[in-house]
Amino acid sequence: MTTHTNTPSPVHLPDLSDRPGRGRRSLLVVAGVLACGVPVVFTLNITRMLVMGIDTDHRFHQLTGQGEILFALWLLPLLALLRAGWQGRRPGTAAGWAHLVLVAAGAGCAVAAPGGGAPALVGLIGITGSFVWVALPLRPQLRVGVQVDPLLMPVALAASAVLLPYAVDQIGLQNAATTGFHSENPHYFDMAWIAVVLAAYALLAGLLPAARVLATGFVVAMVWLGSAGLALGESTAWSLSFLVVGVLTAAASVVVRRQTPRN
Amino acid sequence: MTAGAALAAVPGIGGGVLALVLAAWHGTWDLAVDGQVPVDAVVAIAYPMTALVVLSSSALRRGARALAWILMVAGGCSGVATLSTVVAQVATEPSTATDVAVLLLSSVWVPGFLSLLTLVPLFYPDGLLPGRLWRLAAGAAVIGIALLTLGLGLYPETFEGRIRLPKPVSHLGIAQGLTYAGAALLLPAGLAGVASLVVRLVRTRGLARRQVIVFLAAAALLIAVTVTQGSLPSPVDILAQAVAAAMVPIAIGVAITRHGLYEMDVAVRRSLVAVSLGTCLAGAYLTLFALLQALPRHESALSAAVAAGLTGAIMQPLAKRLTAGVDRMFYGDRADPFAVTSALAGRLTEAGLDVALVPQVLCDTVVETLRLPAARVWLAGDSSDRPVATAGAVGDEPPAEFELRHRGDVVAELDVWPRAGEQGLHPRDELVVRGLADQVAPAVAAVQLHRQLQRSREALVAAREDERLQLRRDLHDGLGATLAGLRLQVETAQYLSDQPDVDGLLGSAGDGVAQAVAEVRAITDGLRPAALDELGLARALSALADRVRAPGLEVEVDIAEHVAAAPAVEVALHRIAAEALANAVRHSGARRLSLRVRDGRHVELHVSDDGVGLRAGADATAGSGLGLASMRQRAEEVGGTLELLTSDSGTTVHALLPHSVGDLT
Repeated sequence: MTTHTNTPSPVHLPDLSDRPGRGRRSLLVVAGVLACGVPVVFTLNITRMLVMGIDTDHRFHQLTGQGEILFALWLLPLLALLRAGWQGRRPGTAAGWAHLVLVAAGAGCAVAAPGGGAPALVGLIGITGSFVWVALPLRPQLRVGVQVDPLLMPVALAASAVLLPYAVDQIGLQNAATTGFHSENPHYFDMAWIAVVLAAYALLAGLLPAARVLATGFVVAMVWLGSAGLALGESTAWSLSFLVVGVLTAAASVVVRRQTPRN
Repeated sequence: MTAGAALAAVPGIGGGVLALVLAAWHGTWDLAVDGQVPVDAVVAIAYPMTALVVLSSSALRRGARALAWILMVAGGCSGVATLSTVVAQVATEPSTATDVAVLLLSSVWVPGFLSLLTLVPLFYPDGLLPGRLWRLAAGAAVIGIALLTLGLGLYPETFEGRIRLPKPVSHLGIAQGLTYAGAALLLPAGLAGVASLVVRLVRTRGLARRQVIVFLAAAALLIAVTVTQGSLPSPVDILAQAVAAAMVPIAIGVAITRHGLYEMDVAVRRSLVAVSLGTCLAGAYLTLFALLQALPRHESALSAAVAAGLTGAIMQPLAKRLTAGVDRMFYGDRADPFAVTSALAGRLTEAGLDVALVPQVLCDTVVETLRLPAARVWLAGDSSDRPVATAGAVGDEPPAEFELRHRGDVVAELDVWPRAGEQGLHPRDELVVRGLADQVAPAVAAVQLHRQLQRSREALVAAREDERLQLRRDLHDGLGATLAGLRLQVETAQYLSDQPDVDGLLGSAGDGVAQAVAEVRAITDGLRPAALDELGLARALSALADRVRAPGLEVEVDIAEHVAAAPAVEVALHRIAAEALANAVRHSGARRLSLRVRDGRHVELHVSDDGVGLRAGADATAGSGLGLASMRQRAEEVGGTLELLTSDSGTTVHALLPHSVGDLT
């Protein structure tokens, strides 16, 4: 370690007093393993299927709602919460909202399309996620100031105008799948779920300065979704719309980031 | 903006939007992408909107107006081309409408798209050509576009949509002749367009140059993507071209908003609010409508009414917040002085903030919270010709000046530059900046006082050291020499004397004189290290290193040979080096020591060791802090700085001293 000091002030040492104790950290580890175990296993399994070419008919779903995008939306907020908790910091507002939105959107979609074991999956996420919140030494600050961004907000509402009809469409497909593969594997539910979560990400980024960072996740997911759709022969209209919304949000996000003053 | 301009935008924006709706309605997206509809739709919608924004400025010059109309016409042509393409694609049987559509779609895109590569670069940014000769290029572009439009219109080909649609009028020979002639004119016109931008780039400076750079980047991208069309896979090529086409109006927008093109701040802000609000409302309406339609037992009319009602309800508060947001984008927190002063107060009360940083914090706050380009603080009564703090990019234009007063005295001056394209600071900006200046004036007064004290201290030290040097010389050359001569005379008298009593007295007198000589030497050494005058600075420092050299301790010396400084600085350098070397030997347990002195703009002293570091060493011996404080004080006395870097692998003392007292720049 190198310290840099102007004499005669004493050399500063890191303050270790606010780090969580061993008990709290143990609790965090247990909650983290319970909450992250399932998505990690799912991620590895779906990635294996993608690499090995298993169920290639479902490659689009594996790359997006059933697989990589869902797991990213599931895991990243959890990891952010756990990391902050481990370091004794208050987790960021964006991470808190992202996790809540995932659970709430999943619950809503599971009510709308209860087939294929969706309620059980959402229940599992909700319960294990709540363990993490209980284990955190400090909760994320969810009540923060609202400041509508004139660039991100219109893009967010345009995105919701694309994503929510898409979610409705996918829920309709899920409910229609009473027999066959998709009656047991709720891929359409998953697609609806991530669509609702992404719409919420965009809206939160447009509304809350503390959650502007969610725009980055939204952009990556939308570009990924649109590109995968175009590459794998999914509906051109939906895929192009996702891609265009993603690119527009990226442009808006860059402008917003450049204009945000340093605090 | 005139009604005529709004009407002129209808073919472009209306055609583009209608084409997209038709394609979505009929589910012909794949055909639309193949038919380059995304590219034409982008041009059709974005360019007339840009033109409308530009034309909405009341203070627009004639040239800029002409450029806006070129954009408008390009958008209109693209709108017609887009709509014609989609109409032909979705048609299920031939008709007069499809005949017209096939004719238009094959030709009208030319003035819509190729004018972006020729006329727009030629006339950007002021709507005037760079010189008289450039008229040839503009003429070639206009004639080339007209010939190519006609040629492609007459080219015999069949359009592939849902059905095959042959062209109603065609003639291969004429079409080929016109097409070749048009292409032959357009190629040099396009090159001339790029060349004109380069010429403007070379000729312009400052803001005007930045306006050209941003557009040149977008135009280069569009040209590059257009040239590589054949080599990119579909639909990537179409999408890339659509994005590149969108970059041109975006670049114009950036030039308008960030670099003051056309000086149309108000119009841009209003347009931005309008577009933002319109998009928000449309998005909210469609979202609500889709959700309501998803409910069981829904009715479209009721859903539409409820969605419209809810959207209407949020319109007013949303417009208010969006307006505030756009204002914030342009002017920071100018409309919220409390937020600005809170930000400043927050920064000032940050733990450990040095009062010397207050002017810098003030400048940063002004630049960041008000989105002003630059700010600078000068301390009153400071003989230095440098500002005490600067933030942002200082421009050539005269700044607005604000006096920072404390107890009726001007303690500093704050210079603030207006935003790009603005003649001066807006009264609201002035109000907020004035408030900030008043808020920090007492702290800046303290900085000024501190500076004055530092200057006085430096002057005292310089005078003291000069006096000491003079005194040392006087004692050494005057009293010292006299005493030495006296001692010689006494010793000579003692040698010549043959009387024991006298001999004893002279011997005693000689001892007294010798003691006086020794005392004078001790006094002169205390006034100033003797080695400095006897050996010179470089060798005196080298001698210090020689003094600590011992078995098991390797000492490296690297001293600039002709290093020189004012007497006070030489003394400070010598004392700091001596103290740092002694500390290293006493406390660090080092096996290697290094003494380096660099002579450049300033004199730099590095003393480093590979010992246990400050904390372990400090634990072992009390009082080491006093030595460090002393070194720091010596550096500051002559206007220098001292830094200490310590870790468990060694310590480095770094002193930066001016050549003359207080001259550290």
